[in-house]
Amino acid sequence: MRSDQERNAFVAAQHAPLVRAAFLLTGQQAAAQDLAQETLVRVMVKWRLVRRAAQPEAYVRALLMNVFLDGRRRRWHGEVPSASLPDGEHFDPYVRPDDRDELRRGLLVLPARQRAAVVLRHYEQRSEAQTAELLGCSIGTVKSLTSRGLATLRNHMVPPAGDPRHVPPGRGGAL
Amino acid sequence: MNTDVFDVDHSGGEPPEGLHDKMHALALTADPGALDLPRLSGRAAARRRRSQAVAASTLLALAVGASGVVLGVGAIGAGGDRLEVADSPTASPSSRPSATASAADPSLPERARLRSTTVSAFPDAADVQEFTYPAGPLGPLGNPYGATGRTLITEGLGFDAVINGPVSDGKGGEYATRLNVFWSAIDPPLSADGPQIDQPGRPPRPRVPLPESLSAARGVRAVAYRIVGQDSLAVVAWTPAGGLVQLRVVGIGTEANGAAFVARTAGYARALLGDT
Repeated sequence: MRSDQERNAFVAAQHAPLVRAAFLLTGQQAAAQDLAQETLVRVMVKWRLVRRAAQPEAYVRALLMNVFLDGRRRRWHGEVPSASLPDGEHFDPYVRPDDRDELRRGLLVLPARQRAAVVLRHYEQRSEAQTAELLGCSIGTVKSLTSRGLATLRNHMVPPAGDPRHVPPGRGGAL
Repeated sequence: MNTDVFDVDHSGGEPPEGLHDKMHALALTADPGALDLPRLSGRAAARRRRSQAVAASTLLALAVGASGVVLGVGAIGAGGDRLEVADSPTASPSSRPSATASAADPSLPERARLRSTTVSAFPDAADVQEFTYPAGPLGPLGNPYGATGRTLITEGLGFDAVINGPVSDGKGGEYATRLNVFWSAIDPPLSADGPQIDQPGRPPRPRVPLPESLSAARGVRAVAYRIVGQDSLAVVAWTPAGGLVQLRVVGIGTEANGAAFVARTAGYARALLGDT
């Protein structure tokens, strides 16, 4: 019983941070909640392993990345037989694009593994070694994924010359 | 910072100015929503039970091969895929081959083994007719193996129990496993003394839309989600000919193989009927 309480407290503490990280990965509110909840279900299923882990929170992050990347690999993401879903994503046309929206769209341009690496390195502020461990790859791969991701992100987000938001190089705010 | 995506800076690159703060600000716009701990606990418990059941069904899984199956249970709405009556008559209970027997006979073609597995999975169903889909596109699946199965009848609702062959992901040897449940109301109720499914050259049987409103559809979706948990995706589609609700349960690899999975799916379908 005490273990259940401990588990529930851990899950509750992880919930909001997971949804936020998941939002950076998915760019969609509903998908982020689903991703976080699936991760938490796996935490509950594997609670004994999570509890024994040297860094339970890092273990959970690894689960999150696995769920995210596994989900991207499943073909059924591209197999939606319905023309209209009752609760699909809604875009508000009156929301003015701003930095956050630009960043969200920029992240979505990245391939899944690059996105995961960028989120771990520059949102979670994990080291290259930690990121490599969480993604199950080498440090060199993390460097490559991150570098490519940042380059793509930068290219995607720099306003074109002539855009009122364009800031000439050397005057800051280049992202 | 090199911005050429094809010229990788293996130092990892300098983080763009303010990137962390911007990501943090973006992340804070996510609404975590309410955490439903009992629901998560229920899903986790179901997941553990499922894993145990799958482990116990390894032998049965061999009956349909190691490459995976796609199973559907349901009734196809008018205007959708048409069914073709099988060349062979419905097998009598006494003549049904067992899954074990078919698994033991590797000479049986894949479709025959799948068919025998289907038949053995529904020994008590009020089935009326065996049928086959032609190989080629099948609803949303586009399954090159076609399908084989049988119609089940429950209180005026029709199910078609369908097993499809494996669906390749097109990348050479990797197979995905999917399972679909379709159902819709059929009026008049099916009976065992007449043609039960659409036949070539005959007018299609009328279907009653089920359910009739979006709110009802949301309810069905919620029920489906509750029953099968996170591994599922319920989709509601509407056509002028009627409602079609698809419950999709996704399994990968051996987890979703086998007659045990077939039986479990039938249970989902019946539970859905009971709840709606």
